[in-house]
Amino acid sequence: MVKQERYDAIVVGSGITGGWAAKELTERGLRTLVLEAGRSIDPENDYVMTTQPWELPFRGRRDRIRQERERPIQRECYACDEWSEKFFVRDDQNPYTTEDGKPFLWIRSRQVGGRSIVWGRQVYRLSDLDFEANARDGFGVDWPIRYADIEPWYDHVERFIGVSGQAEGLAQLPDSRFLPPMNLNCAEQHVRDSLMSHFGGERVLTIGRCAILTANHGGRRACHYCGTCERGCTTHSYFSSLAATLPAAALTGRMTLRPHSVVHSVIYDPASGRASGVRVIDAETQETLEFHGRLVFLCASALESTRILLHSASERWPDGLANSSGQLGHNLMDHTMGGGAQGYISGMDDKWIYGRRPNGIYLPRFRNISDQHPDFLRGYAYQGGGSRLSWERGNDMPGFGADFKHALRSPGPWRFRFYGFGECLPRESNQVALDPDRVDAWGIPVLNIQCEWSDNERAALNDMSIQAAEMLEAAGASEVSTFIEDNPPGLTIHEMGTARMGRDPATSVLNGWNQSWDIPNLFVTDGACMTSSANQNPSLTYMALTARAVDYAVKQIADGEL
Amino acid sequence: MDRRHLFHLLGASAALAGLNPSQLAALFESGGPRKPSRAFFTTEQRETIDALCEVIIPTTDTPGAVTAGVPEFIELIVAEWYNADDRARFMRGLAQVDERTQALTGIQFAQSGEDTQAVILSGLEAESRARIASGEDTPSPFFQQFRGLVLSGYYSSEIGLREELLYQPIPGRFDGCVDVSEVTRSVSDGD
Repeated sequence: MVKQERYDAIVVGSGITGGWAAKELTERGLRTLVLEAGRSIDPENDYVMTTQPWELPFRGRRDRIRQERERPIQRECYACDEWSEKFFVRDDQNPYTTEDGKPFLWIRSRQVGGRSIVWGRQVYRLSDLDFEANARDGFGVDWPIRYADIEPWYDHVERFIGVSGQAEGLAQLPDSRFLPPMNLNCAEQHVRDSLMSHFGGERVLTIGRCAILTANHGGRRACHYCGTCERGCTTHSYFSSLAATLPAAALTGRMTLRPHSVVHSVIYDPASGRASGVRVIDAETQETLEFHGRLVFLCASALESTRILLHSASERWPDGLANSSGQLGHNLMDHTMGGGAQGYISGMDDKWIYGRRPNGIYLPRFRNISDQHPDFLRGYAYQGGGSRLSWERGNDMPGFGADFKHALRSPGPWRFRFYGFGECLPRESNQVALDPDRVDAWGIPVLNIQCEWSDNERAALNDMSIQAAEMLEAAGASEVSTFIEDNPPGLTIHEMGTARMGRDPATSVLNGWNQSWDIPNLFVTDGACMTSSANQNPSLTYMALTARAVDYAVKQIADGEL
Repeated sequence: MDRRHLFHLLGASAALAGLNPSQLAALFESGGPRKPSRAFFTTEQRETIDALCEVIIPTTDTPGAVTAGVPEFIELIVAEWYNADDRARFMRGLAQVDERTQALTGIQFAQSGEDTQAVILSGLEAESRARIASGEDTPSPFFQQFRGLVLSGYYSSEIGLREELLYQPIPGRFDGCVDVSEVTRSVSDGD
């Protein structure tokens, strides 16, 4: 006998979008079940913010042998270190497959709070340059929305999460509702000023826009600049669903949060043509459970939500639930990263910083705005920043002994680094499907992921390194050197697409409200919905689309449509 | 630096950051360095490693590498972190240190005077730099390997971070442009 429970709404996933769905649904009066595949996280016990390097067995070098066994993929993420590896899945329990010569790194978390506990916290609005991109050059299908549709929802989300940053008035990167910006350091201010005089307003170096509080906000404390957010913040100074949206949902008294709940599939009711609920495997007992609801919101992360839909195939939906378009699983994107340059800034050796700012610089897109680059479509932006070299430079210095030791007490030269992130074109051949030959620790078929960069992405990476060097030279940097990293897709951890929004049910999975064209009470509001990738860090857009979709769904219920 | 002084230094900023007393206390509770699960080196090897550590980062106005527990860190890394190749390279290089000292003076490195130790280490460094300069694609020579372990062990130790550098777990504010004279020593990023 399968146990059954009934709710107004079911949200699959408790990360950055699941938290928003939970908050918005419960605040509109809906009794909401939030299903999370992983365990609960208790900041008091699980966060390692106050753990010092000398308290760790390997002093932060990671337990190499154990990571090779348990997290050979996750360890490729900078944040999956000796402090924070527990916030990432074990690869041996969560396998997936790829094709020879097409590596894809899928970095994942399963826990209450999801990846919002370890995310990069950078938040940028998309603009109409992005929402019109597919229509302009013909790659992918047209977005069903424009900036004006999402703008009030960016406002709504930013007011709640708290975004620090500097208003710059750029059309291609609309300003957010900002808390005070963090400071640029001396080297960054120098580069900003140099670029202003060399490129006018065309290349604007600004402080990173991040979901980290620079003032107390909504019951959360301002940042104390310990610098390593991914270890968990016990003062909740950076936004996570665990710190902000889930507590807001809990406050309504209408949320039921169930950890250890691995969603197996969405249950389709042929009689009504709707989703009636979800089937769940209890991760601890392996027991199968069913939960029923009037609305189903998939917020499990781009590839997990798509995997659930693919695994919900039935006689009526042989190619996956809500897949009459045949587009489910296709048009997978990530951002490229790692074209750039670095150099040294002289003339400020008497200056230094105080505190560890968990944020860098941002240099918004300047390519393909008013003219067209001959080598590539779309654009890229830089992150990075300036810093003085630390004791680590001792590895490259000659010597040993007292003088060597004392030389390392002083900060080293100022180094400045531009590190590019580029847009990825939507292409049908970048895709995921269920692998019929392999299951995960809970018996659910794993994904086979086929994804590779195209010449367009490679050409933009190349331009990133050239332009970065040009800007450093304009700023008078010395020893300028360029780099182009060879990072496989996935590692930027901006994987998106595979259930795209569109204007036409024949070519898209979701409509302009993140609602399935096929199954009206089914919504997908995580990164799976993305029609194009833009080059901005995408989480802010996912959050805004989630809040917007909930508002729509609840109005549809009120209007008797759902 | 005693803990009361540290607490005084950090108390205000940590309190501003909204840390509760148990979180604050956690900042000052050291789990202590981990010892390898088995004794990996022989007594003679340990003596050589201690001596090498102290030549590279000696005790000056602040404690050196040995007081900071760097030899124990090196033993753990060699025993439980290195792969077989890195371990073999380390052990070969370590043996060579004593072989060379024996050939030069007839006694072990650890028993030699400071001048002899400096000569041996300078010789290893010169060879190491020559090999790196030759552009050969080989793993880093023993001098680089050993000194790298001393650096990462020392600057991740409580002594290295709190007494040698100016490490503040909870700075409480960020200022992107201050005079170096206000920050007398390199501020570690704590990694």
